[in-house]
Amino acid sequence: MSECSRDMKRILIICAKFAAAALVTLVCFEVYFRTTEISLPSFVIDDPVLGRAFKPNARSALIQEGFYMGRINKYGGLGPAYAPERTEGALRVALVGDSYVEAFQVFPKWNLRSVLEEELSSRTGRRVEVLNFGLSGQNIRTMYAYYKDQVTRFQPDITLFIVVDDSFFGRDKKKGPLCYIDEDGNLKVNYDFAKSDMYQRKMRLRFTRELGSFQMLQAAFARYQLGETPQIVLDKFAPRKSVKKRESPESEATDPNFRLNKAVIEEFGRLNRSGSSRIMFVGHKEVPPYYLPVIAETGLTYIDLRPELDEFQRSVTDPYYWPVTHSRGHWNQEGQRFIGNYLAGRLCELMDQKTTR
Amino acid sequence: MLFNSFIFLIFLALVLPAYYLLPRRLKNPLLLVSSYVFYGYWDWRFLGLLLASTIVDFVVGWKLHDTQDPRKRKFLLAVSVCFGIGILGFFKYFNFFVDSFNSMISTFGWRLDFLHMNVILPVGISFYTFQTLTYTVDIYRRKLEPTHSFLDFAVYIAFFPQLVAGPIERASHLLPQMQRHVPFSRDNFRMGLVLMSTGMFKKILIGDTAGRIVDQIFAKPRYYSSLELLMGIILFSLQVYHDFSGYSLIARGTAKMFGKDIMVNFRQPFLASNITDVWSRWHISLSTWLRDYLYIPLGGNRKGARRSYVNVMITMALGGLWHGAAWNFVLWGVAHGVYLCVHRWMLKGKEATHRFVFTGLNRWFATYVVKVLGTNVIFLFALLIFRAKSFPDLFHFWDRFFIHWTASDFTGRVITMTLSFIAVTLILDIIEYVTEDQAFLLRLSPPMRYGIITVAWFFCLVYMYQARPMPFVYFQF
Repeated sequence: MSECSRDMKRILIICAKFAAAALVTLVCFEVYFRTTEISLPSFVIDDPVLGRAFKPNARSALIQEGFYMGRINKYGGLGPAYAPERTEGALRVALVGDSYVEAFQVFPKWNLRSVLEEELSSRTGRRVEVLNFGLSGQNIRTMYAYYKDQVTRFQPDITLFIVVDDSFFGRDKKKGPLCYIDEDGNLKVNYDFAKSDMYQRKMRLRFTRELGSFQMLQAAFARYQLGETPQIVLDKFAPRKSVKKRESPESEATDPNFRLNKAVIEEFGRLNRSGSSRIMFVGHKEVPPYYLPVIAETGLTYIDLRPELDEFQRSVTDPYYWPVTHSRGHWNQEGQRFIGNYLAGRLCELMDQKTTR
Repeated sequence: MLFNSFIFLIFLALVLPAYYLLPRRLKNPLLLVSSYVFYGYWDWRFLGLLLASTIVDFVVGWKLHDTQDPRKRKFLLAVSVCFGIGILGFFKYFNFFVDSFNSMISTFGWRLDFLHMNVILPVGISFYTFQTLTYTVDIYRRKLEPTHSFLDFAVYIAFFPQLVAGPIERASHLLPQMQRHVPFSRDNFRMGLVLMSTGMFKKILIGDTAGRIVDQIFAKPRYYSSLELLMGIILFSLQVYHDFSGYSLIARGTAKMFGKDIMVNFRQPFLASNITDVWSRWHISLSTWLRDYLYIPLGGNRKGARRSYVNVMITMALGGLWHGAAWNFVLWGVAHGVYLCVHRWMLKGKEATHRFVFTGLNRWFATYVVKVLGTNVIFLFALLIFRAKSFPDLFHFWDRFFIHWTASDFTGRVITMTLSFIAVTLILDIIEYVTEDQAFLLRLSPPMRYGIITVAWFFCLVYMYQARPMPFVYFQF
């Protein structure tokens, strides 16, 4: 054997040992991340109809403002696995909204869904099933598509759409269904996203979502995409990024989404009148004022949580405050309980009014 | 500057080559400037305090050496001690004593709220104050010759790897190393890298990850079940351990790259079979400091058994107070004082056993395991006092553990998470225990070693990038 090939063999052995050690360490890290739940395989999947959806039976744990630990139910929803078929005699309430409703900041026991279910059961004396259809990043248009394709399957008696200003101004994502108004002026949903190259590429790479270590990489990549690298790497030496406050449209004339949002609200009004499910809007932050007459005209009930939340903040505690991060964000445990109690009271009142009439 | 930050890695990548490239006479000035930059990165205003502390002890050290008059020597020592303890007392304990005094006199309807001041605690003050004190006390005891060079002394005090959270190095050990400089050595660099890698893994991927859960649980314990609270306290013990031992390893590793040796600060404390053994393995630089500069001067065990118990209690209570200006820290110290006294009484003059040697799965091993578990349980019990945010929170924990046990919705997962953190700790500690070497990775062949290190660094960097860096727990002390 020539000296050259001996050297080559030696290098190959070194590389093989290095790769083997690295691979074994990689596997050990993956096991460690999963068992300690530092980084779990993704509990979110790409769905050709819903866009982003939850993976049935997946474990989930998140530590951001607060600490969340849960499991997606077998129907791909949050909370108890209530079957799409109605339970005899039960009152079924659906909560639809964004990350506030999703409540990945508190244990499921303390979220709005649980509190509302417990309170409504005790106030009405009936079996109550509250379903959580919260999904972060939703706006009113994607909520409509979600309602049509997912929520109605579960035949709720009451559907509460929990909205904020972002629900009206938020941009549509390319990865999900898009609402549009056709030539005849009808509201339609376009599902072409599932045919896009980006979606197909994601589907080909979906195996990576099964790795906890890859999820960690993905979280890092998300920060990279937000342009946070200089701040993370150079710390005080990086120029401070000025946070641009998004300018909200002041009237329907300057709101590019107004026509579509109005069509969505009117469609909700029509569905409400058809009697399949009673639909209500719940606003907990500034809802653009020019939408309120639209909601009123369609005959939908609008519950404004703001005065109550302000009073709660003044007299009890800040429902948006998180002590670990010293920041204001989503509803904390106290906020969830307060809103759950309040909504249970309001729903009972509204149901009583309906019975009296 | 945090060790677990990219800016520190950049800083180290600049300072280390510069140190070896510069001529000998410029090495210490570089170390001093870089250490001051490292410290001033938090808050440059406290650099003056560090410098003042260095000047006072350097001058007192010389005066002590030159003076033979015992009264004058005592006076000089008092100056050094008063200055050190004075700044520590002001910055760390002023508000604590004022608030405690206020709550005492408030029972008579009086308040002196104007005495409360907005004092910021300078990072690492407890560490470098104790370190400067060893210098003057050792000169007073004639165990140490003062250094001629202010520069060497200033570098000894401010040496950045161990400036903010120790180990609290004795002048007799570290100061001579500042007076000689070894040329670059691959062995030192290799060992430094291995120590630093292990430390980063412990700090970032065990300490910080456990810490994020711990912070949430202790912030609002009322929203967690008994099992989750139990996970909280177990993970806290692992967080503190990995956070601090990780820091100490990074400090050792960084110092080793500069050719300096820093003492071992942790020796697998969770494998200790009794509480005395714990204190010979946990924060060794502080426990030996307290022994040599507090317990022994108080009389140690030279003045009879009863007095030795009192001395242990005083030492541990003050050791508790050193950790933070709050009564829960004092209580934690007292709890450990009680443990140590009870253990000493049980030993009846015999020596405490320290090292267990595995001879098979026999009765001896079973006894050892039971003792280790018992020691950890009492350690955790005291640690709860240390971590609880307030006394009502502490009582809530006790209530949930001992009176109203509540089930978790995620029993299996909570147990798995806790056991996984324990398992990784045990694996690392058992390897360290058996090999008696913190740089145990050096025993592997280079390709395997670097295969492991590469993956470990990769995940440390990814986690550092994607998660907000957590400061070291001991920085607040």
